[in-house]
Amino acid sequence: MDPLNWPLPVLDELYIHKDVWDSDVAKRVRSLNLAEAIKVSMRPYQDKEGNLTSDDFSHSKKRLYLAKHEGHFFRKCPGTQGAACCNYFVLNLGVQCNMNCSYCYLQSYINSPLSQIYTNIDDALAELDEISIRYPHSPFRVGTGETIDSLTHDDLTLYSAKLLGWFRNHPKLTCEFKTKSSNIKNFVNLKHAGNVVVSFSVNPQRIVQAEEHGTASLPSRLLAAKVARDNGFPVAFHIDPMIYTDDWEKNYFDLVDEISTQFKPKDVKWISLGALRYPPSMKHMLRERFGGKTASLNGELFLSDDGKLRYDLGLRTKMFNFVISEFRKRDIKYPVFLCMEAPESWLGTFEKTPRNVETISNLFKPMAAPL
Amino acid sequence: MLPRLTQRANSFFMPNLLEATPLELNWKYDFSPKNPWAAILPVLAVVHEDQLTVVAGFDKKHSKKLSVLEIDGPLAKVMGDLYPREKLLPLENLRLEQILGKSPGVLKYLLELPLDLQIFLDEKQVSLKALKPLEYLKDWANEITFEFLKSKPSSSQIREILDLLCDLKMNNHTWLECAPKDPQNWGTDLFKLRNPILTRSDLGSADLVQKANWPRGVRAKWERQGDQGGITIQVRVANPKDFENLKSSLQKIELEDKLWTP
Repeated sequence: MDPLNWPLPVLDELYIHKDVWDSDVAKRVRSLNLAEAIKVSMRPYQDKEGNLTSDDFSHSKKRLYLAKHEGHFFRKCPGTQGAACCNYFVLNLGVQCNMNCSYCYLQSYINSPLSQIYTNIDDALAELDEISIRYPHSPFRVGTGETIDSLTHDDLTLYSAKLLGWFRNHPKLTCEFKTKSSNIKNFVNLKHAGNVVVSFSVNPQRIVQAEEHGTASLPSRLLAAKVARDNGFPVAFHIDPMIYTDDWEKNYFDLVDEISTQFKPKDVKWISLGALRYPPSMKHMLRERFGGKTASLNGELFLSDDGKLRYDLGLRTKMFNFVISEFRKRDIKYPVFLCMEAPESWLGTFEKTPRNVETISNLFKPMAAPL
Repeated sequence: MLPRLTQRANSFFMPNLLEATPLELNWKYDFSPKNPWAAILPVLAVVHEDQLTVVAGFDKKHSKKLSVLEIDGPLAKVMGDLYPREKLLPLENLRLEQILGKSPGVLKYLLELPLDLQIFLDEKQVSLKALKPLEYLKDWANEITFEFLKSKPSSSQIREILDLLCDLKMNNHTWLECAPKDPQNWGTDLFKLRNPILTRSDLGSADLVQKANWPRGVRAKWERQGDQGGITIQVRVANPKDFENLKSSLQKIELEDKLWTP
């Protein structure tokens, strides 16, 4: 099987809002025969909105709803209370994901029993137009992978090509496609301005198998990254969340080795590190959906100042230090930084705050931006 | 068909006040409300499905003879008026809803807990959300009931204990391993069992801190606050000279790196 072949989602139910029946996305989705029947609905499962049960959440991955998004698409990454901010912005073009990672924060975030794809990407791009005019000197980094994986539904939307086109005309800004898929085929051969970063959330294959269900294997993700790199795209890696197991050092040693063997620092725009974290309220969802068999639940996690469960700070620092030193042993120029970590972690790991770490300081400079 | 009542009380002012034996009444809607019905008041009942059905005064079920005040209205409405939802405790409310025919849905496991435990948890005002671990602790419900009623933990201790028990049970620990050795320290003991790596590490760190050569008058100990362990140092300095001495003494202290990392 071609490692870059990415399967279409398997749907139990497909709903299309009547106003978008003839949108490009709806036409394309209708032509793909993803579900036995397509229902026209103004607001399916309206009565089930609110706190989802674990069954509702699981089902929501197989119920897709195409509709317009009425609110803002562009907003500042919410980050986490007390963490160093890396000036990241998000452009949300849908909600929910058809992959199934045990630690996924969407389990505590989503309150709709449906996956949604917003069909009005042109409105999102118009919003970006407006922001780029209002803040001409702010080199925003804009990610599309916060509430939905950037590329897993790209065969349904072809949004990657549209975004690539827009960012080609706005070279000061940077876009990040963030994914756990290997689905790069719809854009990788297109003309681009070098400002679309193709980034992959990665973990050792053992963790991928145990915790990241329905995602591309690590070799497939790295192959996709290579193909993107070979086509001139900057690539990035998110080693996040790092998960503690008895043999974590060997796992992450191998991962660093695989990345550094295949990618030189000049190929890599950034490498972010984060450790397992989630709000305590998500614990029951994990119990119901994954039983006692997940390292996300079985790990030794404790309440941190931002209200999330995390590994002991000393252990996190040790894990981050290990990965950073392994990268630095291979080449000091790998641009590694910590994601959603408090200053204590930065000082423990880098002995500096992020604005003083040379390889990544530009990401953390304050800039003019909408609130 | 209405039951034949032993005797209809002959009162001009309360024409619906009856006398009956418990066997003549339908007690099916007893949902074990928390507040007892005042002993002086008659049992309240409505006619429901041709039976005189008790809606208040359930604790008089075992009396020999009862005064019963028959009131008008459909059963659900009368019970709704007598027991306003906002005044009921969470599990009490769930029992009432179930008895009136509303399915508890995914919360059914809570109504299968021993009634004594339900009442205790309500008294401690533990939210339904915090009781979710009990879904996985059904096999241990009787043991937990016994221990809780014996040691009467606080609401926050209950939440902590249930969460830890759930994690431990899902990781195949037995009740024997989890049962309290010392009820007052149950939560702490479960925490240690649940987090062996950190426990070992904290013990090691505490030992290293204790063995360090602290200046006289300095009290230092390793303490944990959530995801961070650290040294709490207590010292009193009364004059500038002592302060200078303290600073230079502290500078001489060497702590091993392994103190900070599990």
